Amino acid sequence: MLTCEEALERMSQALDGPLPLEERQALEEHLESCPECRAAYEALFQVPGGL
Amino acid sequence: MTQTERELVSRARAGDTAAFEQLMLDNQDRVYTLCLRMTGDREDALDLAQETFFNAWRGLSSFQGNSSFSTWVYRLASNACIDFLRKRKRRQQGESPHSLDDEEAPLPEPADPRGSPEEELERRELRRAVERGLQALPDHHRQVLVMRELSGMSYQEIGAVLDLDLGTVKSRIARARLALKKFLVQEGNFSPETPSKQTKSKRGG
Repeated sequence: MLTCEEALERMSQALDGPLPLEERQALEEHLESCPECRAAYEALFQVPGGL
Repeated sequence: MTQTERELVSRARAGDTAAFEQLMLDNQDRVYTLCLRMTGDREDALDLAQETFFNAWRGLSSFQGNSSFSTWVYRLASNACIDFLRKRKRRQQGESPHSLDDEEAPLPEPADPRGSPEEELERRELRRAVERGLQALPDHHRQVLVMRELSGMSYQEIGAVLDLDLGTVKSRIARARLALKKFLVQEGNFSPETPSKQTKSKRGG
């Protein structure tokens, strides 16, 4: 299981390009059980802020 | 280093000012962009960019060539900015930081096709909010975001400039991105529960 720190890094990496499958699955698994990280995920992917 | 850069560096070290001028031309945009986004002030950015190239000229003899010249000069710029910001904070205790507005130094526009006037306005407001967010961030967060998002540097390059390992670079970028997004949410422009229709970029923001 990923730590929240690791999950955040993978979300950020996903902004730069598609994640490898295992990483993607590990992230989704973490997000299923962590509301804080889900909120972070929503902020990262749904809030525009592209420079 | 590329062959060209290597040649220019060795000529510059021998005293060839034209060669150094070329090195400056090759690097000044990236250096200036970094200084501008780190300080939020055009004049300060110009001063810092000048200072950087002055230091580079003076320090050429001690440049080992372990990294590329552009990485080295970018690191000089980055250090100069951090020092400057530290001094500025001490001088300006309690004052709110100056925020570049869109007319002074607009953030580069994304390559999206132009939309309706409403969409244009929204985009401009977003860029202003992002600029405010950048200035509100801690220096070390702003630093990696500018390098990654504005200068398009790879994680490896950023690690080379800041002398950080890849894991630390990844972690810092992740936190900086989240901090910026949280700032935007807090400012009231966005709610994470309502996906914005205007997010067209592949990177999702």
